Amino acid sequence: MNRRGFLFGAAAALLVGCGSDAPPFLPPLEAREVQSLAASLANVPDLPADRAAAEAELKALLAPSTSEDALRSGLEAACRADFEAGRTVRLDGWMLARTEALVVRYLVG
Amino acid sequence: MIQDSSELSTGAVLKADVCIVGGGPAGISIARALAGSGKKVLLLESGGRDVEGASQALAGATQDVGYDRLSSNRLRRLGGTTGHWAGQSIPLDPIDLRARDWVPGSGWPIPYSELERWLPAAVDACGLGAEPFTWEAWSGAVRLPDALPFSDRIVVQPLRFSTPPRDFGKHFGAELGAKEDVQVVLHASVTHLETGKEGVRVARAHVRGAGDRTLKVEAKTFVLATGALENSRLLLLSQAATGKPFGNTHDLVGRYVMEHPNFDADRVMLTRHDAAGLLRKPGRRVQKTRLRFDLRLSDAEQERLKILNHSMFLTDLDRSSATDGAVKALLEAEGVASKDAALAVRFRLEHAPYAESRVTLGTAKDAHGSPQLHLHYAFGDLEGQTLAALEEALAAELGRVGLGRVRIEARPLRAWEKKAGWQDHHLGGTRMSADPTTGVVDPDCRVHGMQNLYCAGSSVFPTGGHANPTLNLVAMSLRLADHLRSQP
Repeated sequence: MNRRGFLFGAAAALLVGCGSDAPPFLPPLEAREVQSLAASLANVPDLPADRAAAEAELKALLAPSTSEDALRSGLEAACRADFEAGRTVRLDGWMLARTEALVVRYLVG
Repeated sequence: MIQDSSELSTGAVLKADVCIVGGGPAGISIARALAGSGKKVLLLESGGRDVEGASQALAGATQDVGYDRLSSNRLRRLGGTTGHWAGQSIPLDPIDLRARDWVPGSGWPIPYSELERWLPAAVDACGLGAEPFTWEAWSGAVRLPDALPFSDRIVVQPLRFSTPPRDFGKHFGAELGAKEDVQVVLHASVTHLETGKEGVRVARAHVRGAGDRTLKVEAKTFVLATGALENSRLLLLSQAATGKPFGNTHDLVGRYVMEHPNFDADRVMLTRHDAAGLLRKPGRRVQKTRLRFDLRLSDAEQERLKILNHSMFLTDLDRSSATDGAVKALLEAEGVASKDAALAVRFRLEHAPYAESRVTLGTAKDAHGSPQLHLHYAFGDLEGQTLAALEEALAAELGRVGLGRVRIEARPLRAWEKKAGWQDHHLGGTRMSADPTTGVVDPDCRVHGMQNLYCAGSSVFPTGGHANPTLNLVAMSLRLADHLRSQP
């Protein structure tokens, strides 16, 4: 299992009350891929302070699914809804959906 | 008939009903339109058929705004600056002619319909197709009907290219030469105008020709079509030489000159490869037409945000950002990333009219001993506020429709000015107004206080929008020609 696959599985295992075959709540994404945005997290107001809180928010946002495509679609829909509602944040100047900032918080801790 | 001033004797006096000074797209358009009207037309061109060193040197100028291109971006030759234009064409927007309470000095004294009426003929003269300048006219042909699912906050505008860019001198030279009632004299530079005793009619133009010949022109009507900056200069030179105001009673000649400053900023990570193909410079061909689809905020949004008009399109980036990869990874996780690298956004801004933006007579002199022009461009906060509002709006809209993410650079409000690019579009200087205390020419383009002197070209534009000027100035020149035809 490569690193990405490992993290994918680890994310799935984080689901409270689910077994090892439980669906993940995030599509494959490595912490190191978004690490460069971590420094900007401190400037985002109202963002969970730690991974656990970010995880809880993400789980509430993204319905568990066995399909990776469905997970991706769910994540994209959540992000578009953020933009629609004006829930945007700035990370290193990038205007991102708040959900995307949550993902970064979750991945980098 | 086309002749060279070297064929004329020094001291010759040329006579005509209408003397057009300047053989660029404005002057040629007026000459063509007046042909067959019963008026004898004389068109004076400072250069020859092609760019030559001595003629081009007469375009020398000074400036103090990092705009060191005035001796090359204006061409002294038959056809004028269409000798090196890119052919980009789009009409001014209706909002450009409106009085906007958030843009001081805005508001043309004519309705948009007055411009619109002459656009079809101008489109034809510029060698453009007849298709409308609307997204709806092209959305089917580009076969991407869902590629730009923007809200009504954003307008998609097809900018068309004259292909190849029409050189008015090459294209219409033979036609003008065949007209019995049109006389074109090359290498004939007007140094100043002279009025009669009352100072309200131009009596004659003083001309320097080849081999230092001195010529004079007497005409019932004179039209200055020498380009926006030179129109101002010629009025100022005439005032300096004669002591008569030449439209400058209220110290307005040369003021309110404008450009179309542009600024490459930010970076865009698109999620749709087809959108990149559509919005990216240099555009694409649809059928036989070269197009680029520019974006702008709707008129209602401009009014709500109190910003200037503008356009936006995508262009290449020359540097990468440390966080490009992170954002791309996030978008990949959402299943929407495209294969494109990050792109820059080019913002082309309307330049608000400022009295401090002006052409004056400088201290340097040309080969005829006439002062060269000196150019100063001024900016205010409005341009920077427009840029900041556009960045926010574009980033929010691309995110909302799932088309990409935008990285917005942090910068002081007016920091963009030091990195501004230019379009080589010269506008204003003899702005149009019904009120002689706020403009140099009246709604017919006649110089206030003068009975037989007109200005043609983009010098009469009170505001300049974001649109490339050639198509619009040709339309306005055709409108002027229509007015002149009706004059006794």
